[in-house]
Amino acid sequence: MMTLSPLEIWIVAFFTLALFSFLYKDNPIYKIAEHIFAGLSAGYYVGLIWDTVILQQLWEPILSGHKWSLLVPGVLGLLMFTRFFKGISWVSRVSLAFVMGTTAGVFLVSQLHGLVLPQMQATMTPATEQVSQDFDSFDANLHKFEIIDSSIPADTLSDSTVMAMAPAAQPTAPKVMQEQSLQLPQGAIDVSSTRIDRTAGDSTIITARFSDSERPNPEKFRITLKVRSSSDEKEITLLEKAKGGSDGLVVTNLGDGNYKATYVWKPSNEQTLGSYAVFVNVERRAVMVFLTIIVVVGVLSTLIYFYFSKEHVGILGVTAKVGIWFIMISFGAHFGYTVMGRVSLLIGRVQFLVDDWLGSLF
Amino acid sequence: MSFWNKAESIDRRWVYLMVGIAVVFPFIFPVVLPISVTPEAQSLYDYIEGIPDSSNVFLVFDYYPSTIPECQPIAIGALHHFFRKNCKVITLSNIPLGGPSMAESVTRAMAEKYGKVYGVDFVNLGYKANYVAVMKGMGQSIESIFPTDNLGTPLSELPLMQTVKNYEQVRFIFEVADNATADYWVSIVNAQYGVPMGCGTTAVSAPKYYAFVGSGQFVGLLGGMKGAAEYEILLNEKDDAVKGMSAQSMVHLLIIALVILGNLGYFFGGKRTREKSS
Repeated sequence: MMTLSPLEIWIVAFFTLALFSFLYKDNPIYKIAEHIFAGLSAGYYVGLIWDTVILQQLWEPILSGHKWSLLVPGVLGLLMFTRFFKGISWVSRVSLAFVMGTTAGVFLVSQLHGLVLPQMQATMTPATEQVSQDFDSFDANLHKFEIIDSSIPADTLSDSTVMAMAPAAQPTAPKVMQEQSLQLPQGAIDVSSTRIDRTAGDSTIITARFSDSERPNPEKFRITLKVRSSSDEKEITLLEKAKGGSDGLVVTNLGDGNYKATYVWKPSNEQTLGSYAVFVNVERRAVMVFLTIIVVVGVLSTLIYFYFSKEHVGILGVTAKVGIWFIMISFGAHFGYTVMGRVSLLIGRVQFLVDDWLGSLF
Repeated sequence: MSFWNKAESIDRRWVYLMVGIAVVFPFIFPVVLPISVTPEAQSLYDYIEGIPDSSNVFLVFDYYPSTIPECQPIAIGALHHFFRKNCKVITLSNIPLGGPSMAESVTRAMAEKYGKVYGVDFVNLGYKANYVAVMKGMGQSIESIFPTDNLGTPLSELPLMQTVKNYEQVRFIFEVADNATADYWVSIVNAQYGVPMGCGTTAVSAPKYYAFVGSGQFVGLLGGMKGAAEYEILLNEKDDAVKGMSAQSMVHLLIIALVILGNLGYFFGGKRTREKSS
């Protein structure tokens, strides 16, 4: 991404090889490269902070914006330098106390609310996987339904409206659009058929019938419903992962594991006239029993391993040993990823040496 | 000295040499090995795919130059995806050393490819110290934290920043990090302001962040060079990460062989017996 001049490429290659020379043994060239890197980093950091913080957020707002309240943090920052003077070094504690107080205040809430509680909640929630099935008619071009606002007489339609209507949309009162069998899904949800009805008036009832062999509560399903105009390919999302009883969606249990999802689409204006392909997605979360058991056993046994108020003998000892196994597996995963990370860094350097440096020579 | 004794006391410099050869070999003689896409990478891709076109998004360059081989392909992949969807990309960094300049060079190079205009389609806010204050402050007003962009242009002069005042106008945050700043984006921005997040991170950090995917705090995760390669495959933009994965696989095979050899040396070379007897 960054184009380097030949001189820059040689400088980068020299320092890369100088640092790699440590792999054989410590040497002066490695030391030189290490010290230059440390010095450059410190200098760059000081310059950056001076420009982005001291000048931009303190000096200029005070001088040009007359934000005198900024003098308070400015003075608190200066007080930190009293640490270099033995007699008054205690004054720096005022600034440190302020930093500690604000840090504790900010982190107490954010860590608890943003990390501890969500992670605990996720641990206590059974592991689930998404089971879903699409009724995708976009590509198959199978479901073409007429969406015509009968409240607007045909002779009052504007040219643009007529253009927006597909030729097949001319019949005025299509009631039942199409019903067809779909392929059985991979997961537990068993979709057998879908049906879209066009009712009189200015609204359209979209009905999807599906079955689920596990027969869950209708509220477990999340339905996504989209339509796409065949004239301008414009997509309208009617429902996004909605559950029955919300957003106008009704999911009815028909018995024997069969369900019906019904949604009344009320076209808002003439832009919704025309022919539409319909896309329905039904999904629910299925509990993964085996993984849930592993999570429960892993969390409890690991916690018990770190319980030191009682000697690890008997059932406590056995559980703690199971905990060690989980910890070791976790270390193994971390080690594997760490190896991958370190090798990636080496690959990056080798890519540079082979492609950019040697590539510029030959 | 038997073969097994030698195997357990091999000079580490021979190992370095073998690793070096294993890395260089695929670059000179390309080897194509299959790369599978994980559900975490797929869900991140799917989520971004589902974002409405022209949405405002944050792309955060929270990585040091030392982790460019892992993190940069992720950032480039994210830019491919965002620019294809005509998203308005706002970049920033909480990393002083290299973060703002990498954001500048990478984003401008990608923007040129897609014909995007600075200030209209993308903006680089640059770096500001104290990431906690930065993340919280932007919830109120981005301009109060970044009065100017990375090159000193006042935000009031950038058309994109006239419509993006705080997190309310941001549809998604893509954090590319090699350190713990991702924790703070989750605990401060995602938890308190409800902005959806995805993360690309180094392999070292990846195991930790899988928990955030499980809890729904990240919509998906790209872990290290492997994650970057998966994203390149999903985007059909095979680049450095996919190229590097062949070398990665070669080194892993070598390390597995060395671990097995070392353990066999331990068991058959007599060291285990000596340890037991002592």
